[in-house]
Amino acid sequence: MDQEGMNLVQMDLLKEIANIGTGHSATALSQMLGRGVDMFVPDVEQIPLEEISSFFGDPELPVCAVLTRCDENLPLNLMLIMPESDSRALSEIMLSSITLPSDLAMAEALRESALSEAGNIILGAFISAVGDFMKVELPLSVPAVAHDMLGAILDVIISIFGVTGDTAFLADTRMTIPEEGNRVFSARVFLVPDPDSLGEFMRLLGF
Amino acid sequence: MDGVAQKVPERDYSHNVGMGDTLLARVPGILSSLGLGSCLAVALFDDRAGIAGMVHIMLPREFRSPRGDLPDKPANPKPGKFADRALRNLVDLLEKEGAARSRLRAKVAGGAKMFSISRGPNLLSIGEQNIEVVLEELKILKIPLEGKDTGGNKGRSVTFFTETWEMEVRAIGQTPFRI
Repeated sequence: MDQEGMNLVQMDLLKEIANIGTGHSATALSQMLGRGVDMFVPDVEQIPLEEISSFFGDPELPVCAVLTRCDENLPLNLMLIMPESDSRALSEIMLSSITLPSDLAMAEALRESALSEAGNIILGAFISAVGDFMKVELPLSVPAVAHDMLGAILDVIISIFGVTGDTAFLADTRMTIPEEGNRVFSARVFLVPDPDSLGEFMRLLGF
Repeated sequence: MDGVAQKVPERDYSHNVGMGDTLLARVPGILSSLGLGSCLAVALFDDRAGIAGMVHIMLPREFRSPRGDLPDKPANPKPGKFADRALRNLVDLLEKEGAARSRLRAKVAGGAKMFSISRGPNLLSIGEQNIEVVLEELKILKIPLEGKDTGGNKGRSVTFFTETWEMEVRAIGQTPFRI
């Protein structure tokens, strides 16, 4: 794919798909939390690889990331990135109805599992919307969670894009939970086809 | 545990080495690479000539399709991006600035595996491949490796000081140390 040659119509189409995907994610998250979730229309960005880290600010910013893969039909990687403070707040909302164990390690393990589940739901809803659009089934693997510096997490995405081109596509969105005082959560969803399936991905999108 | 402990204070002679970049510094220059995941920071230095260089490597080698073809696009203008070319390029630059190849020594940090996911392409183990190619290249170039902090599953930030020829390694939730 000639990423540099992508025109405005194609960018609009990607934006529309990202919009459908995040819409489904918000609905799924809302059902899980039992609270309303509003999701903003996502921005779809096209940026040079080397600028990805600095594009999002401090490469040392602590973030929580959830990574999952689809290995069938159209191999791809899907990642959700939230600032550590936001992911902490989200896990607390998810666990608000239960009493956390006093054992710190146990409480931490529960938070991790809640975040993994949130990632699973957000990313699962996202990819099923994308799959519906492309008329292909995209089953996801069990998600892996990491807490680290933003730059280090983004390396994963950059190394996948880096073998095929010099530009990446990112869907960037924000969501709010009105019942939680309209706190804004920032969530970024990255859809990264494996280099070998990038061509097929673009073909299914009608490019 | 918020952020990375003890950031090195910015000075006008400290330089940030971005992805795929190659930068040189003379004493008392400072070279940093922030937020390395699978990427590797390699510092080569000649203490007698008083010069060091750092490269921020992203990938082991330039991509070839399964058929062995190179991509249609011309070679990437940033040789620092690929491990197999980055070190030779850095050595050439250092030699042009008065360093002697026979006196060069190396310090290397990075190459983590950020996610433990059972299946997946070898792209998720790109850190290991980066380390492998860099160590091989150092051997070919006969540059002794004086310090190394690689692999694992935590991201790193590194700062190389030409005043002591030491590389400081920082990670979230970890006390900074020098190699």
